[in-house]
Amino acid sequence: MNDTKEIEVKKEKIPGTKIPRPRDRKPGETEDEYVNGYLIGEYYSNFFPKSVEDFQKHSNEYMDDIETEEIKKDSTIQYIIEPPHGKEKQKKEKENNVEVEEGSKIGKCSYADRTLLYKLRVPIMRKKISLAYAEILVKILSPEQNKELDTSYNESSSFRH
Amino acid sequence: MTNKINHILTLEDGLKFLVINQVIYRNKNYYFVARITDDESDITGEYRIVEEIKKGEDIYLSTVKDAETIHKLAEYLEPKE
Repeated sequence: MNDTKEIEVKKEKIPGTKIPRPRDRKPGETEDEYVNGYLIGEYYSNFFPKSVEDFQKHSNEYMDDIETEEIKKDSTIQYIIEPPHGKEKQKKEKENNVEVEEGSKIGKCSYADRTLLYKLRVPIMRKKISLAYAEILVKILSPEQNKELDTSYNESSSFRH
Repeated sequence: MTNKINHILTLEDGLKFLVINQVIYRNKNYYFVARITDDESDITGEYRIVEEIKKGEDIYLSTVKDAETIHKLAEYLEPKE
């Protein structure tokens, strides 16, 4: 648990992609200025559709004329920085820290279609994703608790029958 | 290290995963991913925490099951609001 206190977190903006927020052209703004301001100045990232219809309405109204490769979304990756460990401690951690199954090779990496990304921002979907994340954590961090829960469930089932 | 948030990672076996969040720990990329359908239009409901492993020119994804690593990453991989 001391390790948690020693971790310093650094946040760094790594160029990702920005989704432009729709806005009206400002008075006197040229077409190029408007398009550049639209694409670069403001983000759509705070838009939370209230429903699928709401999302579709905005998507159709504002996004059809934007080239996919010009859509940018601001994303922040976090770095977890730890103080240098002693060699002994590192060696021990390396020995103990292998519980990763053999992986699958990545064949291709591509940016997701904005339709899918907006789907993820619908409130109910955001809740589902958060819940799924919590379930993974519980499963991995509390396997004993999961066992106890399973046992108590089975016992209560048998009692009923 | 590249930002892969909102990117789709297609594995050689055909499975596709959308990167929901990413964190770098000890010079390695860790992702919280959601499996998506083949036509990339929807989420299937399967989620994983994976680690990126480089072997030569190739990159692999491996599901992380180590509790200590997950404990350290948990707060930072949490899906953003």
